[in-house]
Amino acid sequence: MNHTVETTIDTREGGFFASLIGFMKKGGWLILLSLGFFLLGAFLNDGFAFAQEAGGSAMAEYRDIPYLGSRNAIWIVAQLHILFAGFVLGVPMFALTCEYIGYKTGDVRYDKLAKEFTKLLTASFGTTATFGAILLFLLVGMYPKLFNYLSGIFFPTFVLYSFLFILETVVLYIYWYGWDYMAGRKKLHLFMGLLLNLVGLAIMWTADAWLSFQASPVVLSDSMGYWQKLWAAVHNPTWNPVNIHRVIGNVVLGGFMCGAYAGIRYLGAKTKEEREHYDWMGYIGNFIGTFGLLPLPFAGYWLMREVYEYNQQMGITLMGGILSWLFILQAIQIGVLFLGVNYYFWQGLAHRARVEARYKKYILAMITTLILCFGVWLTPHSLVASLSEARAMGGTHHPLLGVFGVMSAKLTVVNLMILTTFISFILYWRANQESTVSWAKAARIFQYILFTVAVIVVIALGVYGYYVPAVVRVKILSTLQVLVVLFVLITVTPLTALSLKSAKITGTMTWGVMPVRSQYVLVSNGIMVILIMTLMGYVRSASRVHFHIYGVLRDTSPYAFTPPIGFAAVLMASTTFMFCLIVLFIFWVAGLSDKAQKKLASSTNVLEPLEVKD
Amino acid sequence: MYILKVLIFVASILSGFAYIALQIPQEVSMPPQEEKFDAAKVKTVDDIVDIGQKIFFGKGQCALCHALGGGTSGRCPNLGGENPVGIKLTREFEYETYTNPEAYVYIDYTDSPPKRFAARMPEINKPPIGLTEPEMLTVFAFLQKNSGTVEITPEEVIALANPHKKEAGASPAFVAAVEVIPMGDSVSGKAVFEKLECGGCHKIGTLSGGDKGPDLLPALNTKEISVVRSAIFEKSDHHGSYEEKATVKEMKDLLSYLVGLKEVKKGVDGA
Repeated sequence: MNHTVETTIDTREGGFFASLIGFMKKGGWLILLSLGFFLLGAFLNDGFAFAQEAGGSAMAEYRDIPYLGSRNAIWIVAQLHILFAGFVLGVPMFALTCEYIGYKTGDVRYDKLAKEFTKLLTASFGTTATFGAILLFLLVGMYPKLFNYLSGIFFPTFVLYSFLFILETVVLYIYWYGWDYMAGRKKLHLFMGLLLNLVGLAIMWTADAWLSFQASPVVLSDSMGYWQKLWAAVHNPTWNPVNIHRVIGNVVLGGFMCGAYAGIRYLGAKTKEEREHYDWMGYIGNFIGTFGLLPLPFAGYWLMREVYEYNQQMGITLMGGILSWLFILQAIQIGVLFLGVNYYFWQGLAHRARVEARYKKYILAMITTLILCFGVWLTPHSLVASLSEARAMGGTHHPLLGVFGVMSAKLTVVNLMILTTFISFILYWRANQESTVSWAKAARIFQYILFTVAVIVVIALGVYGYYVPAVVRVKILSTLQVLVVLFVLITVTPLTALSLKSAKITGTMTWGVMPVRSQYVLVSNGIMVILIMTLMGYVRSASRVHFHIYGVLRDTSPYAFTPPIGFAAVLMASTTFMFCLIVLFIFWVAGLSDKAQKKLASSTNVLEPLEVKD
Repeated sequence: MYILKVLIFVASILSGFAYIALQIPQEVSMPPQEEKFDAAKVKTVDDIVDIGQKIFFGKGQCALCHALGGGTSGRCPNLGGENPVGIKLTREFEYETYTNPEAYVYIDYTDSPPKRFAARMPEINKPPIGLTEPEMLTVFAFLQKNSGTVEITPEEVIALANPHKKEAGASPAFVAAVEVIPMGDSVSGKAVFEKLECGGCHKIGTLSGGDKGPDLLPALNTKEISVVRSAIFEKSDHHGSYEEKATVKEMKDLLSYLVGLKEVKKGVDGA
């Protein structure tokens, strides 16, 4: 019956408008946009600069775009592509996790949540691909010298990439369109989700080879065979650190984007049920995002360490040269993110669990710790000071604050912030639950001791770091700090899970009562993650300075300079805003089918009596 | 309406971010000029020093980490100040710090308690800096100028820049250093052993020596050569630093001598 009506309605509405929506949902609007750009380009053909194209037969090394500039065009499109790519890879991880939890616990809300987000995938997948195609066209057109060089080494991986992309498309369609069909064969559907993630990761790792090679190329001697050269280029020193960093980063992006989406929908919710649903969704998104956020700095640290190992000069340019101020901006972003994450947890304790009074003193201690750590983290190594101020300080290093501007202090406070956030995470997890296992008290005492010892060890190692050579600090002490914090994370997480497995519920968790400000925090967290991605993407690219391929292929275009930080920040902020607008558009387009379904349901109600009469 | 509020909120965050970034000093970093070393322009010592200065602050990127006088809070050793590096270090040592900085560069130049470098030095004769040998020689000339006396002559620089003269047997100091440093001469090393009076404290197996320090033979027979090298080259509480007592070449000769003794003594002991 429903099927009949659905067909009827599809036929009734399935003219040009339905086709257009379908087309646009699959990223077709971007194809139209690209076509527009192409036509504009053709119109401006006379303005295109082929300055370095010598004669008709010689190959051009660069081409330019008037007003915008080829580098800015590549910059914007590459960042949009990578943000969507992160979204497209992060969301399946998020969806699979939620679907698996739903399968194991029998809680259908998780399955619904996973499905709701997979629906967004179908819309954003095409958008990602379209931006990827524009990026490719721009690279081929504007930077033929670079593209030619990369093709000479990596061409087989281009073929592999294309194959993987087709596979990803097929698996995504099976995963999405087979959701209801495979409801009775959930394991098979979960397997498809796993496959979707694996293929997605393979795509990302393939692309990572190209970009990491640009930053850390290896010697490809003539004595090496073709495939040997290819593997050496792929398996360059920063490939694996970038791979791992991006995997974890995508989990974080998926989680916080879910949180931001839920926050926006919560703000627009009209019914109690909607508020409850989106409040719960925001909680899950924040939970998973935080879970990924905690180990993310360690992956970043590993990447930077490999950069230093690979080339001291590049490391110095990043951490001590012109780009070092970007890390102060990063500290601000991550600091705001950590504060936002914790604030959301505390709001949950106050409003959902209603246990604020019990944890008030802990929250006060945690917020004090976070703010102090934040302050230390964003203290620059050398201050921007006037001549008189510099004279008063005896140099650009502040006599007191200068102590906090060094890596030993910064790494210590980062670890402390991670530990503090983890405590918030655990407190929220345990709220309104009382462990019933016999060893609950022992486990709790063990956790107290573990946290105390970890904090003392992290601080002690940080202080000791001032008295040892840099090489000892970088290679031994910082690694030890990381290992201590990681040990706490991987010990306390399963311990808490086990102790709460058959816990007694001591209070109700009320959904849909979170204040409006908490939802804006969710949006802020999402924006911060996107901004961090744009910033660190720029940092990674700028670390090559005036080289397309560091030390190997010099950038001889007019855009080989490193722009001022303010310009870069304005461009990054603009790109982020563009991304947000497009994502909002996708949310809106994806929401159209919900409206259609509601309409369908109301039509069904109207038509059913007619069916009975017949 | 709530979407508009969210957009305004997002725009505010992004504007705040951009505003903070705009408060930071705005610097454009231009790529270094691709200057070709032109030996024809080298006529006088001042010409060499000028070229060296440009490279020090430009292509060589030395000034990114090293100061020339002033305070001692720089990232890497101050190359000027009261005890400038130009008069203190030999060409061989200087050449090695440029081309193989991980070898022995950890020894500090200053008289203050030894410290390791806060950032390790890149090999500046390789990409991305990639200085040529004559360019490195001009940098050293610039450092010598800061110390008072420039020993490097225009003829040396011109000869080093001219491959025909190099093949013809002209012997610029840096080229000589390349040939000698990696090998070490065990015969010369014996003289260094005596010059530094190592035997005053150490005996080596059946070879006589003092007993203040340990017999060196067990260490020579069991330790990796890199460990032995570090023990000799790095400053210790027992015998201080040799940087003022011997050149890097001499220290390498010493190492070659000791390694040779290990092989000989093995044979003697086994007989």
